[in-house]
Amino acid sequence: MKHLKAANHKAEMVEKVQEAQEQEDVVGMAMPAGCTTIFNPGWEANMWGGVNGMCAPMEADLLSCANMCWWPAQVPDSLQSSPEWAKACSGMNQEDWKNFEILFPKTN
Amino acid sequence: MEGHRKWQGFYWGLLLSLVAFCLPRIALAKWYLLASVHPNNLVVIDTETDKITKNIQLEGRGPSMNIAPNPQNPQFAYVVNEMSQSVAMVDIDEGKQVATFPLSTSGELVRTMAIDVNAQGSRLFVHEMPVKREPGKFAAQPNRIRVIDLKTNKTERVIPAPRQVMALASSKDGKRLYVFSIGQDIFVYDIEQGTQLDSVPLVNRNITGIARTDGLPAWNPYQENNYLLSFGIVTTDSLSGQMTIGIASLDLNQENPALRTSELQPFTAENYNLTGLLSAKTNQVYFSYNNLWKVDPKTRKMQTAELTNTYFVPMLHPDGKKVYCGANWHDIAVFDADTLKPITKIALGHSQTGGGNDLRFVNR
Repeated sequence: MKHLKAANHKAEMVEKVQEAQEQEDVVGMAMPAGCTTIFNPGWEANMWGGVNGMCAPMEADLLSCANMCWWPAQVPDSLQSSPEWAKACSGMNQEDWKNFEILFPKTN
Repeated sequence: MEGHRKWQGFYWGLLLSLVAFCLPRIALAKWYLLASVHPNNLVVIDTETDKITKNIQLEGRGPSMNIAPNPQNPQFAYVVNEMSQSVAMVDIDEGKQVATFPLSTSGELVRTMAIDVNAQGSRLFVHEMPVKREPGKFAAQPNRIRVIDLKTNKTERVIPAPRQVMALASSKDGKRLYVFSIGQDIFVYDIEQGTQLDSVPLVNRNITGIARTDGLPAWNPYQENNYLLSFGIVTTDSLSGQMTIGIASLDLNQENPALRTSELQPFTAENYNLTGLLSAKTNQVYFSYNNLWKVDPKTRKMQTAELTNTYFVPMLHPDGKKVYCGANWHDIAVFDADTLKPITKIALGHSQTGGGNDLRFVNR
């Protein structure tokens, strides 16, 4: 750890907290408010690293992933951060999914 | 004598009127399938004709998610709504939302992924995941279960609860609440005392040769299945690491039900399935994901049917004759429960929301 350097503001905050020994217990944010408690694969690859058994077609899983915030890295979180991203779609799977809003991660 | 005949006539007339009044109700009582559908709708499907009879638009921004029917008052169903921050009470007969139970307040963002109504129709249980809003951050708060008295629609009590709960189920006598949390054993709560009574081993079954067992009844039509709660499980062999897909069940008619499990098929990328249901009538197991499976848990004999797309859930009709595959697509595929031959597809107009329990049966 001593060879690591903080590269952004959040990492500097972590170092300060550690130096001051003010760490609190880490509690996973309750899904779907925080969307960070689910780490299982299943979007780009299955749990065996392949593509068998994935949702077919991909759109079969798109809205359920967003509504429940199941895969926040792959699909926008429609319950907290991006509630309007699917507004331009009819809701008919595959028909007009290209109307989904494209979101880019914010950088600090 | 004349007076006696008059009274006889009166009583017969009264009896016949009563029968005439009741007969239409008895004749019309049948099973309907409720489906949560985008953007914020509750669809009612007649399972005799497999046609939509009502498409109820709910209030607010939606989406409509988990559904909990009221077994004693099936006119009403409860639907998670408003970005999982409220529960809507819907009058299915009137075709409209009649009440709302908001969960969030100005200081707390509260969401739910699990609700349930007890067998007596007297209580609504809502698992809450509160997050305190503080300047520049959210602070996760201890989770809780809100118990709402459905006679007054007011909170009766709030019970501390585990985190990451995705399903709730009540015992048939109404005394116990079973709480299913990701990666945990099954928690058993005494509703009157508001305390945890016990746990049913699931992930920690302590069986030699089994490293862990994972599964959740995220889709949970147990009340429609004679209070037999069942769900797909994956067990991991502690020596070989091999995984097996199976079925677990809890008979909630019993006071202290034991978890029964049956390992059915290897769990591999080529043999993949997830959501399972055990029929209380036929003792057959159904799985649905990219294929529809019907497995005999005694012989492990399997029938399969292709699906045109992923359907998360096989919802077995309470009479055991049809399987409705859905939960995430813009239609529901209906199959013969015995032969797995396709019967029809019910077009919903919009995709389902994919949340747990977004399909439930009611008898009206």
